[in-house]
This record gives sequence, C-alpha cells and structure tokens, in this order.
Amino acid sequence: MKITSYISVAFLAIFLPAALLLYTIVPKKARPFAILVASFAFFWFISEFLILYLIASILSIYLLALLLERLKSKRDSALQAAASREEKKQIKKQSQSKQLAVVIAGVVINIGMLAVLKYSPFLFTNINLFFRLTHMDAAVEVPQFLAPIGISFYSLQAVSYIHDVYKDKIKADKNIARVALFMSFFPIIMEGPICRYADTAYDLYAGKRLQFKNLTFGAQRIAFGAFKKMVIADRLNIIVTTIFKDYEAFDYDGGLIALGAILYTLELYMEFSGTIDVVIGSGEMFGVRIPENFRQPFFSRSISEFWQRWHITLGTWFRDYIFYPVTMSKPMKKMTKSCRKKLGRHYGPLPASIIAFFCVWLCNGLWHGAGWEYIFFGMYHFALISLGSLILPLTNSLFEKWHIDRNKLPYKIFAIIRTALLVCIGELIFNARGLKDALKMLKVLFTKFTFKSWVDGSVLSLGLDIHDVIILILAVAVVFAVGIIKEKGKSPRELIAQKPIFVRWPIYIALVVATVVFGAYGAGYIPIDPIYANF
Amino acid sequence: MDRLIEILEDIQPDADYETCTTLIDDHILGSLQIISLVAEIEDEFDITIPTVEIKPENFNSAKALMAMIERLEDED
Amino acid sequence: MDKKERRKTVARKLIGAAIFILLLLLVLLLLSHWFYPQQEDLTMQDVKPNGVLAEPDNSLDVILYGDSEAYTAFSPVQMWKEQGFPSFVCASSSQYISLTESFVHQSLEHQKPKLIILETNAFYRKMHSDNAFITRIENMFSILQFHNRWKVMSPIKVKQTAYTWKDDMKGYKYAKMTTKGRNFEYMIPTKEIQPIPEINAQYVENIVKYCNEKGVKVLFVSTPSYKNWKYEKHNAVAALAKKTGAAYLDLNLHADEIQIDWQTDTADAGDHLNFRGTKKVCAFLGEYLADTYQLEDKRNDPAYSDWNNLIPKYEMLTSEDK
Repeated sequence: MKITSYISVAFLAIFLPAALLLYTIVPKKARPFAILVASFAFFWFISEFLILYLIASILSIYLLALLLERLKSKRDSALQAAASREEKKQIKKQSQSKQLAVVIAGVVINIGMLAVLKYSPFLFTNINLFFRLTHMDAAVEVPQFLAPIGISFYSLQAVSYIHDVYKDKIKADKNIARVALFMSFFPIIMEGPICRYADTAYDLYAGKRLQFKNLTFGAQRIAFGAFKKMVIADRLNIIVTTIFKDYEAFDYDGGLIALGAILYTLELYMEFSGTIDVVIGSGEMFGVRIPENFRQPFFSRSISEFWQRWHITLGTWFRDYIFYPVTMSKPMKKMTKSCRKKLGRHYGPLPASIIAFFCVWLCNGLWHGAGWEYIFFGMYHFALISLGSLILPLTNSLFEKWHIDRNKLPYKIFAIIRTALLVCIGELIFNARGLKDALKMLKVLFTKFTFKSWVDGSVLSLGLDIHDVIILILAVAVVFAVGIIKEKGKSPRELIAQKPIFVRWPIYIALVVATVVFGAYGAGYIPIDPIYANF
Repeated sequence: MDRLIEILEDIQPDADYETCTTLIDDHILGSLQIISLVAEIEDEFDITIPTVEIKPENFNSAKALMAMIERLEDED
Repeated sequence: MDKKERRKTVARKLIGAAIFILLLLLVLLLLSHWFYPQQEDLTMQDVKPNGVLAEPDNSLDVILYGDSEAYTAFSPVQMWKEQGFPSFVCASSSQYISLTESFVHQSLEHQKPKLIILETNAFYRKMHSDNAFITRIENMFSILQFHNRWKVMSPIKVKQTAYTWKDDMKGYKYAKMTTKGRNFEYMIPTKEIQPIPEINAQYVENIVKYCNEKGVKVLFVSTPSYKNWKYEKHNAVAALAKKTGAAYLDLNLHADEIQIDWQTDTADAGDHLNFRGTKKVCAFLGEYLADTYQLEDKRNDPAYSDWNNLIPKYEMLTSEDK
C-alpha cells in the first residue's frame, strides 16, 4: 500500500479505520503502542527506509533531554551544598553553559539533518553559480538526497522539545515511547500542525477509550475537509495550473495573472486547511486534541494578523523559538533600551524587532522550500510587516486628520480586502516556477492589467466550464458561511448536533454526496499532490 | 505597582491598566510593545525575564505582570 | 446496573451509526444508478477537442491526440495550406491516456480517418489510481466513476455540448511568445530505457487494437521538446510501437531536416513550440504524412471549400507573430 495523501481512499477508508480498530481491540495499557505501531507503519508507507532519519531524530532528542535533566539536578544539588552567593552564581553559570551546549547539539543534529537533506542541492547549485559568475575555474558536485516526507514538520517539533526542556517549560520524558509518539503521530506527520510536547504527548499516551461523540465529530470534520479539498481545491487546480504554466506562451494579460494569484491563494487555503481538518478530525477520533492551524485567515485586517490566523503553529513556532529569543537576547535588550531613549516610544523597539523579523522571515521563506522564490516570498512579507510598523505613526495621524475610524465597518472591509490582495501577491511569488518567473509575472500583473479577460469569456477557456464556476461559487459560499459562524465564536458542528435527526442527517449526507458528485476527481482532472507535504 | 503602571502607560497610553485583564488577548500589547516592556521592566526592577515567561498569562494584566516580577525578584 | 445502562446506550448509538451508514450507502447506490450514462450523452469534457464532433461526418483524413505538446506543435490549417489534407488536433492540456482513449472512441464514431496520431508525451503522464481494489469499489459505486455527468444532467446547457461549435483553428492553440531556449544535443543515443507506466502502455495497446479493428492506422509522433524528451523515452516508445505494430516518428531525431532553432522557436524555453516552431514541424510532418500515407490533395475538392475559406482568417490570427 502506498499512501500519498490524507484525503485518499487508502487513508480514509482503509488505514484510519484499521488504526482505530487496532486501538480499541488491544488492552488499555497497549493503546499508546497501538498508535505508535500505526504511526510507524504509516511513515513506512510514505517514506520506507527514510524512517531511519525519524528514528535518529527521536533518539537524539530523547537522550539529549535526559542529559539536560541530569545537568539540572546536578546543579540543584550543588546549589544546596553551596555556601556563598558568589559560589551559587558560579555553579549556575557553569551548568548553564553546559546545558546550552546540549541544546545546541540537539539543534545542530535535527536542523542539520533537515538542512543537509533539503537544502544542500540549493546551496551547492548557488556555490557553482558563484564560481561561474566570478569566473573561477571550480565546481562542486551537487548532491541529491531523498528527504523523508514530513521532515520539515517533525524537525521543528524536535527542536521545540529540547528547547522547552532546557527552559524548564516541561520535564524531560523518561518514557521513550511517549517521545516517539509525540514525534510520529500519523495524522500530523505529513503536514503538521507543528505540535508542542505539552499539547499532545500526554493525550496521546493516555490511551483514552474511543468516545462516540469524538468519533462522529471527527468524522464530520474529516468530511468537511475532504469537501474543501476535492470540490474546491482540486477544481481550482485546473485553472491555476493552466495560468501559471501557460501565461507566457499564450501571452495572458495582467487580469488573468491576478485571477491566477487569487485562485491559487484560495486553492492553497482550501487544500491546506482541508487537509488540516482531516488531520484534526482524525486526532479527535482518538481523543487527541491537536492544535488548530487556521482561524479564518481571510478575515485578517493586517498582514501580521494574517500570519496569526494562517498556519498558526508555524507562526507561533517562529515567535517562540526565533522572534523572542532574538529580541530578548542581552545585546538586543540593551539596544531597545537605548533606542527608546533616542527614538521614542514607537520607534524604540523597532530596530530589535526588525532584525528579529528578518531572521523569522528568512527562515519562514526557506522553510517553505529551497529556492530563491521562497526567500523572495519571505522577504516580501518581511517588507510588508516592517513597513507597516514603520509608517504606523504616519497612518495614525493621517487617519486622525481624515476622521477615519478604524473600527467602522467600511474601513474594516477595506482593510480585509487590502490584506487579502497583498497575501495573493505573496502567493503568486510562492507558486511561480522560480524567481525569474515570479518577477516576470509581477511585471505583467502591474504593467498589462485589464479586466478584459475576465469578461470576454477567455476565463472559460482555461479548463473550467460554466458548471464548474457555479459549483465553485456555491462551495466557497458554504465554506464562507461556516467561517462566519466560527468567527462569531460558535461551533457549526455543535449547532448542527442540536438539530433534530431529520435535519441533521440530511446535512451530513448532503456533505458527503456533494463531495462525491462534485469532487474534481476522475477522468479530466489532475489529482494534486498535497502541497504542504513537500515542505 | 505604580512604577509598573507608569511604564505601561509610557509604552501604550490608551488603556486602563488597573482593570484590564485582556492586554494580550485584545491586542492592546503587541509584540513590539512587549519588547519595550520587557526591556523597561528588567531595567526598572533589576531582574531578567527569561523567554519562557513571555506568555499571555503573564502579560494579560498589570496584576499578572506584577506577580511575575515579584516571583522573579525572589528567585534572584 | 450502571454498566448495563451504559451498554444499552452504546448499543443504541452503534445501531444509530449503522443505520446512518447504510442510509448513506443507499443514497450513493441510488445515485450510481441514476448517474449511469446513457449511450447518447457521452461527451468530451474539454472544450477544444469537442470541436472534432462538429466536423462533417467522415471528412477528416488525420486526427491527432495528445496534450499541450500536441496542440502547440500541430496546426491542421497550416498542413492543409501546404499539403491539402484535412486533419484535427484532439488535444487537451495535460491529457491522460485514458482520456485519449475515450476521445479516440468518440471521434471515430463519426470519422473514418486514414490514420490517427498519438503524441507520445502523454504516454508518460502518470494516472492516479491503478489499484485493483479501488477499481472494484468504483464499479459497484459507479457514481465515483460517472459523477462528472452532473454537468450533462444539469439544466444549464453549454453551447459546446451541442456539438455545433466549430473550431477554426482545428484544435491548434496559437502560441506567439518566444522565450529563448538553448541549442544543444539532447538526444544522446543510449540503450537505456525509461519505462512507460504499465497501465498507460496497456491503454496505448488498447487504442491501437481498436483502431486496427476499424481499419485505421496508428502513428506515434514525438514532438520536438528538449524539456520533455530524451533518448531513453524514444527507446521505450519505439519498443511499444514495435510491440503494437504502430509506426513511430520521433521528430526529435530529425533536427537537421526540421531545423528547430531553440533560441527563437519555443514559447517557453524548450517545453512548447511557438508558432515559428509549429510552422517548421508542420512543413516536415505534413510532407511526411502526405508521402507515407498517400493522402490526397483536396484543396480543389468543392466539398472542402470551407477549409480554403479558413486560410485568410488563420493567417490573420497568426500574423502577430513576433
């Protein structure tokens, strides 16, 4: 069996039910091991021998965390024995540097594996390019590695585990099975969310009994995720691929490029958040609460808010393990203090945070892929966010002058649309075939923009007919309605569950039937690979 | 406590720090303000705030902030 | 007592779930029945290749199938202008070989060409599920297979499905842009083979067999493209041609005669040809087909006056050539 996506017959109709069955027929004590076996089997199906990299990661963080724990208890007993304050300080300092060395070892091992497997071809290609450009007669061989699927996700989890143990957020776990479960739980291994030890590890190991409500709610969430991906994302993929592939050969105008960017952003959202729905739903079935990864991102009013609502777990990872460590490092704090004196309240913290933003967005870009277009994508968001902070006092005073109230509805709508359009431009860069293509498309977008192609029917020559367009509009409206309910703080599933059976059941059945009938699969449709699994 | 409120007001003037308990949740303090705040508090109270302490629970109200500061003062 | 109560609720919930699942399956089975296609309304789902259905019955001598490589390289009007045989390109973007098969079946219902041409790039396009188990489920719940018929069954009628929509370009898609590629020797002779996915090869064999039964010859053609083609693929297609008895013409090996200049003749640096490349390919291929298959010159045949009338429009549409 080969599983390539969570939204597939192989996973939903075979693997997941089998895993649930195994989980419930074994004795309570063995349940965590049932998930572990299922998870390792799953990883084998998607990556075969590359599972060894995952095992190496698990072993490394398990052992290093225990080592950290040992250093800590040694320090504590030494502290108790110590007499003077001076001596205590000395002990603390020594232990600190040893612990730091362990943490660095953990980061180097885990990020190192990720870097070598995923980024060395990019690095070496660019070294060769450098040689060529400087007319140096040298070349290095570009290595090619096979990286296990999901490495970008579990490597970050590994780093967070080591870091959290070091910072006393959590205790090092003596139980290797729990560490292994945290790293390899099969619903999250391919596309995240990026979990923290404190979030999932204990739930996973608790071996709770399967609950009827968890099973049905999980199944509903899975069905909704499949609907988003199959009806919307897979259908959009047809037109998006055509535009991004053919824009040059067939000389599309800026209007079509803009349409491509908007539809790609929508496709990516439906694809990724739909998959995450399946992931969270699968976890829910086992009684494991997986953190949310999306919170209606297209209701955001600024780019920084967008990143707090889109791929949330990646954003918080960068915040906790890059942004704060950078801004809160000693030299940066010093800089912030003195800058506040010189630059004032608003600009004081900016230098430190702009440096930190730069690190975050460089990493964010690179995390998404080894290529200049991804770095450009990161820098684009870095520029938007920094610029937003820099001109804030200016916009504030302008708004005051013009009597614009930011909390009024018209402004809110304006801000939401503006943010969405800026995001779409970012995703255009993201989906282009390379930096050169990205720049070319942007050039067409801004120099040859007309709405001609939107109205003269050429949209319908790109692979979707009028039926597809109608279905797309209806399906997006459904997802939008669900988003509004959630935005109001209500749970659509709870709302439906309160309805009588002759309302409730037809809704569930309609959801499944709509996915089966209107899903863009089969002859004529190109199945898309999970976009995020390759990061 | 007064010293803390003073710092807070210097960083972000329009908020009622005596009563508000949702400084983070309601985005009254963003990451920029937190950076300033940490730098100022460390200087004023002569403590170091480790990054693990930077979590919503500690920053949502002046009271919680004060509790954290006192805890860190004791530890030193 | 407590335990007994709980068992009872669990049992009730399980029965409820079972009824729900049965109900769902029942709905799907009913839909499967409803969606099962009637003979007369099998349609092609893509707009461009649908144009072939509007051509007069038995009017075409050559029909070409394939993906974007085919509709950028082959221009029927161009070949008509030079050689005078009527043809049509029944190609769609990223065409799967399974789709090619159904196009072949549908177009041969109304046409009796001398030969059909399969562009070989599509031979390598991997299809999604070739899993026997999944196929069996699909057969039972044929809704999974025929779900797309909701378009045909919908009350909204699209012009194209009425088969009156004629394509003046005869399936060719005009690419005028030039993105410079580079000239280099990419067909390096080797004995290595890049295997065609087995299920695809099976489809190709079925197509050839079907055509042979209908008395239609089959020719595989590989269009020039250094991004898509190499000698390993040539070897595999040549082997398949030998096995099935189809003829094979690899245009990548006729670089000297066709004279493709990758600096000027490609729309996107070695992937697709632009119009300049198309003209060169059509000059060569048109002559080759006319000679090899003794295609009659019908330019003076009054039944084909429509074709001659297309030429001015065609020349206008392609005149922006940079």
